[in-house]
Amino acid sequence: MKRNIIYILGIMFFIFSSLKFTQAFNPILLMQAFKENAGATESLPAEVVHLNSLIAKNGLREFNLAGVLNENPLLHQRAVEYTYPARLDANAKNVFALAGTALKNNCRLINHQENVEHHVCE
Amino acid sequence: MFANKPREEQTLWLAAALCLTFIANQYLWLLNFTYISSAAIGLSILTALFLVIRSARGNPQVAFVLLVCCFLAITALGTATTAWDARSIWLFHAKRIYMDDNLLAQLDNYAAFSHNDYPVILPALSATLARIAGHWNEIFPKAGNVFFILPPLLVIAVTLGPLRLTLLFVTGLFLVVGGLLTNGFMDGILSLYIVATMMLLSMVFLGWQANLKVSKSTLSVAAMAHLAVLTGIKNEGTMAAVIMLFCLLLTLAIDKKRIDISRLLLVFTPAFIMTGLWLLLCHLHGIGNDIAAGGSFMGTFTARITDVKSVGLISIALYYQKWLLFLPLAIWSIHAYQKKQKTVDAASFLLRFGLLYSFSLFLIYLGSPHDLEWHLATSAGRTMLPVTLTFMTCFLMLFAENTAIRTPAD
Repeated sequence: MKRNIIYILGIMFFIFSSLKFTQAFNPILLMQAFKENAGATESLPAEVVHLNSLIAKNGLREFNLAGVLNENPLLHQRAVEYTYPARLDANAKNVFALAGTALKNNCRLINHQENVEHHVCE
Repeated sequence: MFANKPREEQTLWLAAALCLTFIANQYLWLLNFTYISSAAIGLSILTALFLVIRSARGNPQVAFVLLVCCFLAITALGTATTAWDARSIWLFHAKRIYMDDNLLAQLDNYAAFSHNDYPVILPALSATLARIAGHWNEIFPKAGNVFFILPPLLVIAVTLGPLRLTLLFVTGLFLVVGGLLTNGFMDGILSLYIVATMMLLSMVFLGWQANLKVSKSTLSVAAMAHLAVLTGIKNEGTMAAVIMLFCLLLTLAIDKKRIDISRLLLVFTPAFIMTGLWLLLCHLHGIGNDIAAGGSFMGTFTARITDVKSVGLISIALYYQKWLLFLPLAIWSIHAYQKKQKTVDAASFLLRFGLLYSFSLFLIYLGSPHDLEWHLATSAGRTMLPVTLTFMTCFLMLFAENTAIRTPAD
């Protein structure tokens, strides 16, 4: 009897503690778990996803960030790790910034996706 | 021959084999035979898993551990990878190994924010999984961490014995560590390896659980393999291994027991050689640790140790945690149920380790070059997990004996 009570209490605690794991669980992600590039929109800020598609579209190997994209630690780190193997380079001509960011006069807008702009600075 | 061994011994061999596979995996990346090595590693893991599943028949603890790992794997595969360190450090290192086909990719010190001095045993397995899948994404690479959870859980289940104790341990693990097991962080996995290694060391050197049908050589190999993985997880693993060695020698000295030097060398040397190799590689590439870099550690340390506010902040962040409740519970259990000297010795070993490890963290925070409040707020809860889990295990060891679930001839 005493052992059964220990078992039942243990199982109840186990179920209770397991609930912690289910909070962020998304069955749709589970279905896509092994698909190429899956989980990006759920894991990353939208600006970084747009930045990456601009980099991939242009086949860039190096790029630079300006304004909030460079100064906000979250956006900066996510941009660097998600766009890899493209590398952040302070001397790169291709500069990405959020719309409305003031850039130098020698920069011209090439393309944009949502609020992320692609500039080339000579 | 393997099939004739007792179940406990088989399980420990499989846990050790999995650990050795993880170690082999990272070194195979150095050889550039990535497709062959990925296939070999994949097959090794599958074989070990098949044998673990086979040994789960009639062995409820092992079956339960397998179910727990399946649950964790499904959870990891069904959650986005959003945690800061998981993305900026561990999965970024894995992605770099996979994309550059190079285990040492991070040693070019690109993106210094990603702590390029951190070891790569877990990122290397994520990279191997990506190689097997043929592409990278933001979900499955972190699920590779669940493979690392299996060996220490098997050791803990076999060592604790009855299913109800394994159930209690896993419940405690879920409550204390929670989502850090599956979100791509290393601290939960590090804590599990610390606990499993200390249990194995207690059996090898302190004679704890002498009734288990496992030979000393199997226990030594399992301890060696777990210790080698432990030091490869993150830098705290090396610190834990050094503290473990010190506490073990201290416990043996206090108990006036003979030190088996050859066995001690067999267990600890591979781990320290692996760490030494990694540190040497970092040094040769000019990569330093953020805490030690800049030579400001001692200056900050002396300034903070005399500052009441800093000492208070660190003390509160480290020691004002609800799960440290296990420390008084463990101490009370030692005094209330001093039945078997060997269990008390093992429990004392764990307690000494937990206390010394937390003091070491205290010293590190004193010298941290980062803003103290920010550093404590972002890491103290995680870095104390090994301590909390050690105290919890210590309490469970004593609780197991108290409830007389075992009938050992200790």
